[in-house]
Amino acid sequence: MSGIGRPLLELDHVERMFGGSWLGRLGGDNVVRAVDDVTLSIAAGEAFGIVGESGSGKTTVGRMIVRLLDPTAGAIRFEGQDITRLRGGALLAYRRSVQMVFQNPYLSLNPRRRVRDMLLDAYRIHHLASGRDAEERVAALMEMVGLRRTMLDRYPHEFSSGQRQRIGIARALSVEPRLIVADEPVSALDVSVQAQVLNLLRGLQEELGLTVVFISHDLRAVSFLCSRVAVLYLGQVMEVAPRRALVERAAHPYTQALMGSMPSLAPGSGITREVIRGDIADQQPPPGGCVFAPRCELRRRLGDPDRCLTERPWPRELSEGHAVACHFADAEARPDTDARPEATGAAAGPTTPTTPTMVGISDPTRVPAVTSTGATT
Amino acid sequence: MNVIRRLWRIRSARVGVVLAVLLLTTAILGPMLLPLDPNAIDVRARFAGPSTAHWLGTDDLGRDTFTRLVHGSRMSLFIAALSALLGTLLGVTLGVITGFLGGWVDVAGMRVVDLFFAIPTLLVAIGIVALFGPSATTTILALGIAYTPLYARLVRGTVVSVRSRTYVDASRVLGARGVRLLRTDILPGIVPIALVQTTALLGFALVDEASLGFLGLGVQPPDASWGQMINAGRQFIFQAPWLTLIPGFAVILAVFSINLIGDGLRDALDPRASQRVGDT
Repeated sequence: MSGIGRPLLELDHVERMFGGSWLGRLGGDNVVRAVDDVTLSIAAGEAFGIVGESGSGKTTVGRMIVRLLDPTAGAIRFEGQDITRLRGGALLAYRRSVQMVFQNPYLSLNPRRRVRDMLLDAYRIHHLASGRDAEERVAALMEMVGLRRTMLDRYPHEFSSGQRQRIGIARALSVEPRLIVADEPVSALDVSVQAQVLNLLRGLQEELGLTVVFISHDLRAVSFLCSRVAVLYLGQVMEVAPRRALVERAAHPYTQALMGSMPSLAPGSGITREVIRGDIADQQPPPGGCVFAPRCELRRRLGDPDRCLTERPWPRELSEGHAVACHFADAEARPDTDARPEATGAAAGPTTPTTPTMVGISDPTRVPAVTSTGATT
Repeated sequence: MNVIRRLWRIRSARVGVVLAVLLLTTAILGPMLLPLDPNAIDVRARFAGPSTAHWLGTDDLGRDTFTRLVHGSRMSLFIAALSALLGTLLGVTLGVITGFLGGWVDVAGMRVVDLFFAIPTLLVAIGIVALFGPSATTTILALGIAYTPLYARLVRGTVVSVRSRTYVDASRVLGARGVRLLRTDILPGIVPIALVQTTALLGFALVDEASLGFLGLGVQPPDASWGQMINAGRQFIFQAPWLTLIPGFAVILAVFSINLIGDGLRDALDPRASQRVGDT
């Protein structure tokens, strides 16, 4: 399952701003653009990873998918239907299809409710089952996540963190959803139980044919679970690639730096790694340019080209399913030439657009625009 | 219940509970067991000191102070309980509605609360008594309404904080909303704070009933309440100081008992305390 099939979920130029009343916005108060023109598409049955450091907007993306937040612009389509304006019964129906696993299992379970009541919620809310039938289903859920049905009458504080997260997963599964958004589901857990929960998620994903959007700052966990990965930085997509492509030939300087921060056990890999200077909030990115420019190692090596500050790099396709939002991502191959854009044109231009949904770009107007400017520079 | 067991483990709270049980028993059973009529006038025995016939002496009309104290305890505790209950009901309702709905309902509700906040509680109560005339019922109404703003603000704040917890998000994602969300996740979250606050109100209400009674705006003679007795004894404070001191002492004892329970409840409901118990 490498993302072949029609998209189950599409994010179409999604934007989310925080802060600032309309009055403050007039006065130019600092409005945070947590998610900035994100376009992604996720196929049914796929495990899709979203990676980024804190502040990258990855959690906001997840919360918008499950409708805990509404985007300020753009559309989120589930099976072709825009879900950002659903209300009432339609929203309730959507909630049956899409569920969430939360980051901190100590906060996501109500300490005053028994596990049984929490798991029965779904059946009561959606009138899926009642009485003995519901009891049976709840017991089955517990076994599905590796817990015993005798634990149903316990309160959350009687469980370990790993068990709690299993309960969180069971709750998400209770409505039999098609898509699960897992927002850092293991980062609050002990390292010793992280692997168990990741294995559980992967097993469930394969067994139930679930589509999983896995949000994490941990590239290892993401590459363990996901077949495709999107890298987010300051609310923008830097790179989208199949797992293998990302691991073997990450194109974006930011992704490369992330990869470098990942300890490797491969013999001879040594400790040559890119170091990201500064913090995500340190430097104000240039308006209109590339958000990563102030911290970009590649840009430094290329002699700080102005283009990074004046023109936003839109995602362009390097190879099938591999898109990168960088003007010079493939310039490194020919370090002597100063990032000649011909190669860019060859890579993305003439190739007939394969299934655009896979690439993660669904707005055709923007891709050629970038390529053409690239060709004329 | 877990909380009650934990409350019992706190020594001061235990003292408070024992006192409260004693007071309640007196208030409920006492009037039935005492032989004397609290309103029986005996001019031959005016201002009598303590004796076997009159344990705590008599007042200016020769009425038995102990009998009136016991009958008055029933009235005072009844008024305190009902006004605390009324304050709780109104405060929780208003607080939950404004905190949960948010938006303009919240803004409007809280502005009204602010308005009331500008006036001291007792003054609000006096105003309401002035509108409807003094009686036990008015006292309950007046105190209950006067306590509402403070309670509503407290509950609203708690609801707003509970509403943003992750487990509420989790329930929302499952499809819970409105009344269901209130019942499963939000109301249980405000119970600890409401328990402590209602207990505190009981104490306030006892004092405020006495204050209204002292001003002659509470229970009207010949009916006895602690506040009314303090008011009646005031005129003779130099001749017969026990007429004010004894009901005053009763108020202090009752408030003391309730405060002990309130403090104990606060500790017993402390989430950190329960975390400690839960983790082991």
